[in-house]
Amino acid sequence: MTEVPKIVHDRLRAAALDQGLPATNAAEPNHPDPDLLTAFAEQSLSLAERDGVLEHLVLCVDCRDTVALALPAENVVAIPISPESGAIQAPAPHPSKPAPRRVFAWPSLRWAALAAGVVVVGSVFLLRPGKLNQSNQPSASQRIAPTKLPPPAAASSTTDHGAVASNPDEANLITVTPQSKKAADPRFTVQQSLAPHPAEHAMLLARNNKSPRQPGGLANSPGSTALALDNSAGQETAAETNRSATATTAVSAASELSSSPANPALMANSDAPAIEKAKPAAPGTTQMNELAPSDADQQKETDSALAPALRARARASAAKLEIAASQKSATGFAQHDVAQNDFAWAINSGVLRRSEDSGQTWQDNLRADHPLLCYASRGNEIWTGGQGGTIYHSVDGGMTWVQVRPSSNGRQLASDINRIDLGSSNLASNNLGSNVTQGPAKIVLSSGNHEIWISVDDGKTWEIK
Amino acid sequence: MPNPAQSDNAPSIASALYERSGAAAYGLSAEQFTAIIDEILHKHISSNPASSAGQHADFCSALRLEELALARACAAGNERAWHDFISRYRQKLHSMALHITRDSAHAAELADSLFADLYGVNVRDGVRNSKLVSYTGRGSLEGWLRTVMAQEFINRYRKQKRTVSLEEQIEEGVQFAAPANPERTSARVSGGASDQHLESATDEALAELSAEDRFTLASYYLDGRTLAEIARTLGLHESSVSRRLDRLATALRKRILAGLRMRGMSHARAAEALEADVRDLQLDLRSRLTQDSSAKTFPGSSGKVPVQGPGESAD
Repeated sequence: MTEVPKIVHDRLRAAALDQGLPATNAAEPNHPDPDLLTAFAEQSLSLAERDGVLEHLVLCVDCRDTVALALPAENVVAIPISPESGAIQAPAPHPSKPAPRRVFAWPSLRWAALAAGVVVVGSVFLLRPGKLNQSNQPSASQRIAPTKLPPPAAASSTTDHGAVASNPDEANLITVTPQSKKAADPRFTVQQSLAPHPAEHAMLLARNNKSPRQPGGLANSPGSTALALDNSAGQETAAETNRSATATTAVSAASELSSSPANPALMANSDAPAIEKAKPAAPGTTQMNELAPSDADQQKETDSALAPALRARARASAAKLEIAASQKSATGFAQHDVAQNDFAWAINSGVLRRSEDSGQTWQDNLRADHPLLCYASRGNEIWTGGQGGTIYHSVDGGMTWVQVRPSSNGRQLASDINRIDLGSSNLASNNLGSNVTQGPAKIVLSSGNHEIWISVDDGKTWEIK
Repeated sequence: MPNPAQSDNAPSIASALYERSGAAAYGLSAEQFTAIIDEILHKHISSNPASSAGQHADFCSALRLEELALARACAAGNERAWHDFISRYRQKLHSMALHITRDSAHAAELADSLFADLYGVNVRDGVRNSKLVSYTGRGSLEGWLRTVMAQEFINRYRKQKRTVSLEEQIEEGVQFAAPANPERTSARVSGGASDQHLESATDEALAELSAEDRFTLASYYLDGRTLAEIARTLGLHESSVSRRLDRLATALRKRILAGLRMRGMSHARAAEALEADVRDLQLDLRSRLTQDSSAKTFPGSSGKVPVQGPGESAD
């Protein structure tokens, strides 16, 4: 971070000392009263009032300290976990001065990036002037096609690993490729140059489960579920896939993934997709009928490519998810769940804990002012509640938390929250029950005084039943 | 009186507020509650004569009415209110105190002391003087309790520091100031012209900043607050505060340099003056000020150093 001149430090101090404010006291008229400071910290002042308080805070170190000390406990924010060791990192100490400026900081690198960009553009102009003067710019797929694509007839074939068809739907391939394998996957460099398509975004959301419409760890789109049908059920579905009738974009994407030469290993490493795809594969379902004939051929290859170990793993994960969905009790370590990121959750001694390795090791994730009693997860979205109306919400798998203060008609929820159910405000029906939903989030809180608090807009407004 | 009575539908607004607050459950009558609202309006809004009845209604509707009713009913001695208050906040008070003091013994003492103040152990004219009377519902009751506790902690720390003996200070390794060096002082006076230019240019540059920008600078560079703390105070994202500090540092440097050039300094000389370590120029004053225990910092604000600006050192 850029350092300010030292004279600025001294003039700021001098301004405060010149002001000569007396010691902080609630009854002291020269200082804002605790009400005003509280409202300032809670961002509930009008602009004029806020500016007035800020002007005072600039000059009054005591009030600045009061505001800082009165901030809610920092443990509301998720505890950072070391990616290597999995150990909980201690919070960073308060820096007494700004961090030293790094040589490779962004302000330095951006000029290098700009220069590199100029060089690249210049070299393109110099080396290929004729191509650039053509009236019609070739599309991304057309530019790539000469080097990667087989004949057009085969472009839609799912056995063509390098296929980058002009059909926008097939651009969804990129979203299925796990990021860790992008560099190794020859398709990645090709697909990266494709123009974005709305369907691609939809697939990306489906894979990452970042959409609030997506239930926890489960893909709703028929295509995304279709790939893993035989992973979970353990059925030889090659014959069934031949009966598939229609191809969705997700199906083609999933088929592309599974048919790639690198995909067996790739799929074996991607537990989370295996879990999310395995779940909807209830025996006797007819989802396979949705597959197109061309995709069905590829599905055969998928089946043969998947290692038996992967299938067993997917089945085990699916079984674990089934158990977790049925165990939504209030307390104890028995409560756990597998989110889309393969996180397992549990509450132990009032602390929400998270496991990134299917329960092998656990790390504290959230320790609130009051003991936490229950939680509910839906993909990366986690709700947890506890004593005294404590409730927190995370939409990124527990990386950050926001405290929610449910209130209805001016009345705030203050009793213990014993149970949280996540559902859908418009549709909540599949083989996993309430843990699998569609539509806007519906949060149902059961409080200790036998009240039911319901929100159908992700916790923005609440209604008491 | 800035009563909602200024508008025709004042009674309905007052009754709606009363109903929303749930004050009836705590034995507060509608008249009592309306009087409380009037008092709050008088304190916060009546200073602005242009405020309208609509603004009053908006202000009242933004108040934490339920918590206000609870606090005032506690101050009035309602048993049910105290039962609710204790069940909601007693444990929280201890958690807050532990968060502030980071020491269980001090936390218990601080929490108990505040609880006594809230209950009102001091009796004047037969009436308990409860601190909860000063809660007006602008922010949450929990936040207000945290703020009151933080103020109490700061005041206690300052009092404690004032009564520390010299022996204890020596044991703690406190360094006492050397007498002012006359040579350094004379050198300071001789270079006064450029220093004054620098100070005035810096003051001008700071005055052009918004209050929020100056607050950010003071919190980060003087108080040693983390980006996360500043972000939470201002309701921003941590990265926004980081970007703001970068922007401010760059802008301040440019403005100070421009101010120095306007005062007749060359670019090179202005840059040289800006890079000079001003701390060397005010050692005498810094030493003098650090003996003033009343201005000392307290735990949790590691970077704070109570020193005087260069402009004060010439006397």
